[in-house]
Parts: sequence; structure tokens; C-alpha cells
Amino acid sequence: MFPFPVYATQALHGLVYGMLLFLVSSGLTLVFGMMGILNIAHAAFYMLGAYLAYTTVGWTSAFWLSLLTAPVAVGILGGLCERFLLRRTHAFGHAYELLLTFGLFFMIQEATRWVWGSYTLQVAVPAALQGSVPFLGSQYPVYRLFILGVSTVICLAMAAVLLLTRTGIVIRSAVSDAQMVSALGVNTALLSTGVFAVGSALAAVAGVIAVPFVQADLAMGTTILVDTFVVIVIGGFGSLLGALLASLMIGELQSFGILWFPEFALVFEFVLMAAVLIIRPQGLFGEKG
Amino acid sequence: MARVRPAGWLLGAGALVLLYALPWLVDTVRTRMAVEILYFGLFAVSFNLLFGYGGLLSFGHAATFGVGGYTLGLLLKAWPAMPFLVALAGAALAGALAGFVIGLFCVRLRGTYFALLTLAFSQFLFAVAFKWRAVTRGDDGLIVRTSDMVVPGVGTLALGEPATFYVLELTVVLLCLAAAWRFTRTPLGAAVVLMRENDERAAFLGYNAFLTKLIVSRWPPPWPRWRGRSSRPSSGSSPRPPSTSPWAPSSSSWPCSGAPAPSSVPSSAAPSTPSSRTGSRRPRRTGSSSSGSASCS
Repeated sequence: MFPFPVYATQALHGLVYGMLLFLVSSGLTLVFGMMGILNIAHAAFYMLGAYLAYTTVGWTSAFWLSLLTAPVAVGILGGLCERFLLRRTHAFGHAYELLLTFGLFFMIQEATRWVWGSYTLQVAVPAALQGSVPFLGSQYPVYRLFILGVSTVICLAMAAVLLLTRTGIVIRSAVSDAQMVSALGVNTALLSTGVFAVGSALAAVAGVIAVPFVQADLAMGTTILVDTFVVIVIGGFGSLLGALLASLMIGELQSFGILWFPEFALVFEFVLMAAVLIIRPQGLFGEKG
Repeated sequence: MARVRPAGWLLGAGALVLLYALPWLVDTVRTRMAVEILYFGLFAVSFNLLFGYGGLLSFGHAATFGVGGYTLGLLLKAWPAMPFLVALAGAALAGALAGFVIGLFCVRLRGTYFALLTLAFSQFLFAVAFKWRAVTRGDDGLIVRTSDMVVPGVGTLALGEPATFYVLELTVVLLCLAAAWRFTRTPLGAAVVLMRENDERAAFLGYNAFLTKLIVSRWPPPWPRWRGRSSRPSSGSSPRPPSTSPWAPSSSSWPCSGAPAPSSVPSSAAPSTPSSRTGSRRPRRTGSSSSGSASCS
């Protein structure tokens, strides 16, 4: 079929995309675990991160700066959305929260069209990361390895915070039973806003590091949104470990799907998602809801 | 039900006359716009039946819309001589069938899980429409000439004419609205609302939640389909060649479920759909051009 290096390159592609996907879906799954909200606007935050990176690079031509500005701005926006919109809707049930974030998604997308226009915007790969390195007899772009590196570091940092710090323990407890944690005297409202903001910021980070590689356009939100849904369904709602494994699974599935069955690559993940929902709705690592 | 007073009847009749006279009161562009308003309105009504009455938040509603549109298009393409109304009925049937099969799996889940499973199905259908170029012509859209409709005793209706099409569409939409309204007043319609409010209690009272949800999940789809087909012939972008606007896959993409607008983008601007950029890794769905709000009761 194909020589071995092709498989290896393809596997690496899948790994890179999988980790990027994990950056976006980790925030989504944490928010779902704590608040029961499937935040559709999350993908819009990812897109916003990419566009803010474009603007930052345009003004200051410093790509690295955008890794700071975009997440902070988007994090604040996310926090505000949670505090002033979602919290008010909470009483009406999940369907309305879902619709609210759905509306937010379109509002942000249209606002982005308004501010930046409908064109595809290019952000150059920073000079230090241009070029490629030899990889099993062929070449592999350095920037993709950078994406892999950054997302791995963030993933490890997140694991450290969640597993080793006090805040992490509180967050994990809130994911498994928010009401109980609240009864123990923890300010879960503040915690929710915080987690929502950090989750949004993570999506923005993913947007920033993705933008030199995928380019900023209005469809990027929709594209990743569906993939992150598939990820959290397969991994199990609220499970970070599940999200990590499912992200890598989807990354590889897409990568090899395109290699072997280019016609059907798109279909696989949805068949997988439907199968998981039908046979095991709680996903691989989720608790039965 | 409150009794409708004579003034109400008069108002309703006046509105009806005005609606039917619309194509002769406004220009062609606005007639086309009215055609779009009508089918999106019907789409919203059908979504309301599902979410507003049934409490079932479906992201797959646009999928049945797409199934209907493609069925009509493919039927007319395969048998150009097929009477338009027969094709229409076929499309409605296919949409209902799709809704039934999807509902069979989905209605056992609740809330977010239901929404996501319907999303999975709709994305699956979207992928099929997008990739199966031999049949659906993928992103280029399906271009079908509508055969003229022969009405015994009246003559031939040129469906390519926006005015004629509008009148036919209005009739179909009104019939569907009446059927939907009637449905909400049947015992079954009432059971649907009961299910939304509290399906455990409903089950105690002897209702079969699964069956009822299944029925309602299947019921609305026929309407979208109706419109599904209406949209293709109607919104041709060039004035003369009748009914050549392509039925593009984005019509069944999930954002349509809640924001009716996206599907109008490709169907009227299809030859140069923004989503047909070459080299994109995955199909890009066009965003909505205006944000229609999903109806909730």
C-alpha cells in the first residue's frame, strides 16, 4: 500500500491535530462536567482566538504576544458570558442553555464577519519556527511539532493543576457533584465562572497556535465544533482523560481515514459518535448520567 | 378554543387574499424573497412542533430538510416526466422515513444526549451529501429543471415562474400549517406536551413516552421536506432559466436546524459557494447570513 514513512507522517499529523483538538475539548468537557452546559460558543472562542492573533500580529508583528493577548481577552469574554448570560438561564434547564450558547456562537461568528470581513486571513509562521526537519527520510514542518509541543505542555500543566493543587481537587469534586461541594462551603458560582473563563482561554490558545497552520476563516469554528462534540461524546461527558484519548483517536481516525478512504473519511467519526451514543451514552469514561 | 369573531374571520380572509395576490403586488425579486420566507417559516413551525411542543431539541432537523430536497431533486432528475406533486409526495415520504429512522435511535436519549445524537445523524447525512458526488454532485449542488405541472381543467402551470411557484408553495404551506395546528389539538398532540412537561408522570398515566416521542419526532419532518423541495425550484438566481438553483449539501448541515438562514446562502448563490474553496481539508460550512432565531414556544 504505502511505504512506512507515509504511515509515520500520517500518524504524526493525527497526533498534532488530536492534541489541538484536546486543547479545545478539555475546556468544553470541564464546563460540561461542572455545569452541565454543552457550550457551543466554545468553538467561537477558538475562532476568536485565531482572529485576535491575526490582529495582534498585524499591529505588533509579534506572534508570541498574541499567545498572551488572545487568551486573556477571550477568557474575560467567556467569564462575562457565564456570569451575566448563562447563570440567568440556568433556571430554565439545559435545553435553553444549549440554545443560548448556540445563539452566542452565531453572534460571535457574525460579529467576527463584521469586524474582520469574510476573507480568509493568513498569519505567517513565526521566523523561528519556519522550515522543516528531516523525518524518516522525508521532511516534517517544524511548526506542527511546535503545536504538538505547546499542547503537550499545556496538557501536562493542566494535569498538574487538577491532580496536585487544592483548586484542582475542588474543581474535580465540583465536576462529580457541584451541589455537594457548594454545601461544603466552596463558592461554586465563582469557581464556575473561573473554569468557564479558563476553558475559553484554552480554546483561544488553541486558536492562536492553530492559525498559522489552518488560517483564520469564519468556518473554522464550525469545523472544530463538530469534532469536539464527537470527542466529548466518545470520551464521556466531563472526563478529561476520556477527552484526551478521544481527541487522539479522532485525530488518527481522520488522518488515516483520509489516507485510506478519502471518500468516507468524514463519515467515520459520526458513525463512531452515533454508535457510542446508542450503545454506551455515557462514553468511554463518563459516569452514567 | 376561543371562538373566532366575525371581525377575525374578515381579517383572516383579507390576509389570505393579500397573500395570494402578493406576486402581482410586488416585483419578482420580492416574490422570490416571499418564497424563501414561506418555506423557512414552515421550517420554523415544524421545529416548534418538535422543540416547543415536544421539548425535543434536535440539531438534526435540517437533515430531514435536506433529505426532502434531495429526494425531490433526484426523483425529478431520474424521471423528468414525473408529475411534480407525485415527486413532492415522494419527497415528503422520504423525509418522514428519515425522521422515523433517526427518531428510532434518538428518542431513547434525553436532553443534551438527544441533541448530540441528532447532530451525529445530521452530520452523517451531510457528509454523504457532500461526498457522494456521483449522486448528489457534492458542493456544486443539484440542478434540476422542474417539469411544469398539469392541472386538469385549469391548464399547465409553469413552475419556473416565481409567481406560479409562489402560489403553489403558499397553498402547500397553508395546508401544512393547518395540519400542524390540527395535530396539536388531537389527543396525541396533547400527549406530546405532557411528555415535555414530565415524561415520568405521563408514563404513570399510561402513555408510552417512547412511542409518543417517536411519533412527534417523525411527524414534523414532513413539513421541512415540503419546503425542502420548494426551495430548489424557486430561488433560481438567473431570471429566465426556470428552477435551476442547486440544492446544496449545506442545506442539511446542522446549523440550519436552529438558524434557518445558512441554507439560503448556498441555494441562491450556489455557483460560487464560498464553501467550495479548493484545498480545504474538510468541507467548510457557510455561516449564516442572518440569524434567524429558532422558535420556542
